[in-house]
Amino acid sequence: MRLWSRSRMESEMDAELRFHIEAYADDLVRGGLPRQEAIRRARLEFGGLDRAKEECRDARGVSVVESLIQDLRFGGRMLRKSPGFAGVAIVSLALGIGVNSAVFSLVDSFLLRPWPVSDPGRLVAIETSWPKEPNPDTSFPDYSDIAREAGAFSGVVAYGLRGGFVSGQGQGLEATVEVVSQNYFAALGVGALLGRVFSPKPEAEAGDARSVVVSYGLWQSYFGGDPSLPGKTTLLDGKQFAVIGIAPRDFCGLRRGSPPGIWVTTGGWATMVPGEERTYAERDDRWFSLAGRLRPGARIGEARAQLQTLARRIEVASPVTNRDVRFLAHPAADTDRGDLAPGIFLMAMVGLVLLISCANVANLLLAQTEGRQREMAMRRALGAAPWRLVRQLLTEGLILSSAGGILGLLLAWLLVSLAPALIPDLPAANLGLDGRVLAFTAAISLLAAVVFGLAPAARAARCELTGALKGEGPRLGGTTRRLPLRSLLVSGEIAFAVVLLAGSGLLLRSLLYSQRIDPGFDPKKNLLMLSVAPPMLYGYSEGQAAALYPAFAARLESVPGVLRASYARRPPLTEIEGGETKAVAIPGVRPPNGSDRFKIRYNIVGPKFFATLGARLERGREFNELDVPAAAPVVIVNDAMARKFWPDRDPVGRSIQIGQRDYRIVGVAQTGRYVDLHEAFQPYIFLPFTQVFSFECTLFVETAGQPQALVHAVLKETAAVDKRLPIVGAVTMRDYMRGVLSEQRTITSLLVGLSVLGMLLAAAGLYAAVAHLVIRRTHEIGVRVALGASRGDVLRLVLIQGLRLSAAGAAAGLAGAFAASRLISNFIYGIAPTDPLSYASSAVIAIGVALVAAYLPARRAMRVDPMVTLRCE
Amino acid sequence: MGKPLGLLQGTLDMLILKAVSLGPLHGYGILLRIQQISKDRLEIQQGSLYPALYRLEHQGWIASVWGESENKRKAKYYRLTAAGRRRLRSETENWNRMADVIAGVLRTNPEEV
Repeated sequence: MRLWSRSRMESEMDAELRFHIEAYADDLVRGGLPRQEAIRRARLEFGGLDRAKEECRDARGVSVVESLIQDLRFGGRMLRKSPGFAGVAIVSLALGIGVNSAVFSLVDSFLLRPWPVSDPGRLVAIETSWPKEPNPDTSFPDYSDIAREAGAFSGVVAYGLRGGFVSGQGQGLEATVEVVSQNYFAALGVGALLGRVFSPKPEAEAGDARSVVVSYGLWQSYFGGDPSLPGKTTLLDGKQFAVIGIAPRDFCGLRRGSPPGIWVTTGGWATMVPGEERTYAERDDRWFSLAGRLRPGARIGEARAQLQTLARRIEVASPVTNRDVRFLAHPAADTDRGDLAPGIFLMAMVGLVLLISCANVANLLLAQTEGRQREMAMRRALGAAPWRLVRQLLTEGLILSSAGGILGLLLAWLLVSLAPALIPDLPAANLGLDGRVLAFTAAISLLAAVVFGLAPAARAARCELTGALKGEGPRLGGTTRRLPLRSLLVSGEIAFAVVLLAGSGLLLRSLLYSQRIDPGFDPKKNLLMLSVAPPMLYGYSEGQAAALYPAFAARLESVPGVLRASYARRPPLTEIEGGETKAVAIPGVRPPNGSDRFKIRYNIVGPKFFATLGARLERGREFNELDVPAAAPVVIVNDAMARKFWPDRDPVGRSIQIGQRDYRIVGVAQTGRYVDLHEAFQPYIFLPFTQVFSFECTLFVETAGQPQALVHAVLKETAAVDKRLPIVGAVTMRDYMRGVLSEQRTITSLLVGLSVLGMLLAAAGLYAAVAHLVIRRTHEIGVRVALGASRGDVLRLVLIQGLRLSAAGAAAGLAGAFAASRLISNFIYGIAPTDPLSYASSAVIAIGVALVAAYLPARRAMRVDPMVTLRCE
Repeated sequence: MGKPLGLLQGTLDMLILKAVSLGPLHGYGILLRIQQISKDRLEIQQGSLYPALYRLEHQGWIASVWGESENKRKAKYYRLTAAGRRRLRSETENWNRMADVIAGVLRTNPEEV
């Protein structure tokens, strides 16, 4: 095809015609004419050369590409002619597209990108369903049975999240440890970037139990990207492990959003934390996630049937632990739907912003085409087909959206590079504008062009010739016929903005609620928390380690400005092993499941722990230095436990059995939240560190003034106790609490940002619509003023227009928010998803902003001079 | 041999298709070939030949390629495409039927009506 090369076409045509004339002239010369005369005759007989060429051009026809280029040229010229319109439209689109691309890249990198495992489509997530506890994790014995007996799978892997302390490379750090089945990497089809991964062969188990695979992230951050790391050793919780390989950069396990730092086999975990292998034998110790790879040809239904049969069989064999336990299977791609929910929610919200900017541009285009009626009518009269005009307008829309898309991509790039600064809690991930984001941006730009270009184009196709050509502009009456669509668009913008605002309102109120939750201690206290590396990793014996923390506390209390110091195995509200439990027997009360023990979560705390954290004791006393190993074992229970097991009676002085020993209850603490701020009240016990040793502890230092000011002095004092033992983290309680709510805060601030943007765009749209209205009705307003209307009347006339549009939009928006309230219910706490205050305030804000936007053109309307407008007649 | 006939409306296309169906030709060659096979009884406006060629090419009935002429000059040669061959066949049939009908009509005597 030579369609795009107009000049080449022309020169070929010239050459062809010239050849014809010359060939004819040659024949004439051969017939006896002199050359000069022959050429003259040939030209003459050929006839008009230019006319022939013109006819040739027409005959060749106009190609699709050529007319597209024509459209593009013309469209570009039209847009250049009204740079204000084009600028506003492009900026509006760029904002809409930019935030969409930025949010998409965020959501994509965390949630959507397919797992970098081989053939992810055949992976199936297997979950335990147990009516008693909403925990999808599976116990190791159940896993072993599934792996052995479910024949629909060619391999089933187990993986569980734990924490560990990596050292051996200067200062140590806490790392997320994923405990995996021996076949994990092999069954997933994930190889090593460097070195090797765990071997699926049984004979490799013993060796791999002394080995770890390091994630790319940890390799970079802790091991400095050392290419010779595989083959070297590292310390994991003080035990020596061989690093056998580095995982590929994009492999972050199967759990989205929480990339593990290091992988150990179940055997390795038992080496690392002695005693943990006992949990592998207990059917009710459920902490493994499961994924199975379907055998070639096997269907998921087959797997489900096998799992069902297997669950029944285990239930019969172990009725105590597995009553009503079932195993569910679903395609792994949609397992983390719970985790996907924030992504879907954010994309839906950011999609609303794009819809607002599209409605904005559609409205601008409509106003623009109204001004171009004469042009359209002229082109129709000159023979342009209606579809040709439609195509012209759609092309102009495409120019706008392409420009908006490119500018939006720039904006997205800016937002994404600023994201880590704007959202400090963002986990490090491969954020960036890759091919997927580019494709997404191109797709939504195209979609936007269709969405906003359709209405004006459809209108252009229907334009009436005679009226427009005669120059009949819209004047008194006869003008409102066009209004419904444009009013609908403006009201729609307001409606979407109201949905966004209502969502922000709900999230804000929920955040306020969460901030007011009583966690069971005083989060506003001047408190410094110090994470100390486990001393036994640094050569301490258990006895020395047991003496270390009291020594720390005593030393710290001597620092001027320090009021109290204490320590505990776990800081409050931590998810790392926050669910550890002790088996507790309570005389006179039997657990409902037939066993004789309750599983109750616990912490091990030092003397003055409750006073230091500002936690209230309802009854009794807290631990003190007299609770020594030789003294009778003591325990503090929380109020929820007291009410559950000893209603109407005082538990203080009673005994419970933990392990094989009896513990006397010496106090009842106020019920707090221990793992998650939003958890329901549950029984909890505190054991004294002075009697029950803990491998590691966090120090708590209460200060009289700002705790930051004392960080230096405090660290100096701890160094004086032991220089080698690093403090791996010093954080104030206020910062710590901020971190606890970071996810909620992140999503809230994102949505508030989006709704402010959406509201501003909608306000701009309303402003433009009302301003346009004022211009169109200038004549009418002039007449009204001439007939005695006051400025107030004119102001009211215009404001009522704005009010009508925004009130209709707000009503629709509230209905929409109500309909979509289920979507947000997963992200809000403590208030109903239909909270009236959030709804009402969003409507009030939207209408208020809309009135301000309408007031600006209204002021112009008030200044209309009747003499000027009437003279224009 | 009388004065050459002017072309009937729409017959030039048919003649061009017929001319190139005998072998690839350049524009001037087509002109000569039509004159030759019509024994100079048809007059073709040279200027109208090329728009017709361009139109037929656009419709896909003939295709063109640049080649070298008998006297070593670059010339654009046209040949019939498969679609053009079908077109020529159906046009020829139509023409023959039409010619029979018209001839029959014109032969009609008053008493036959």
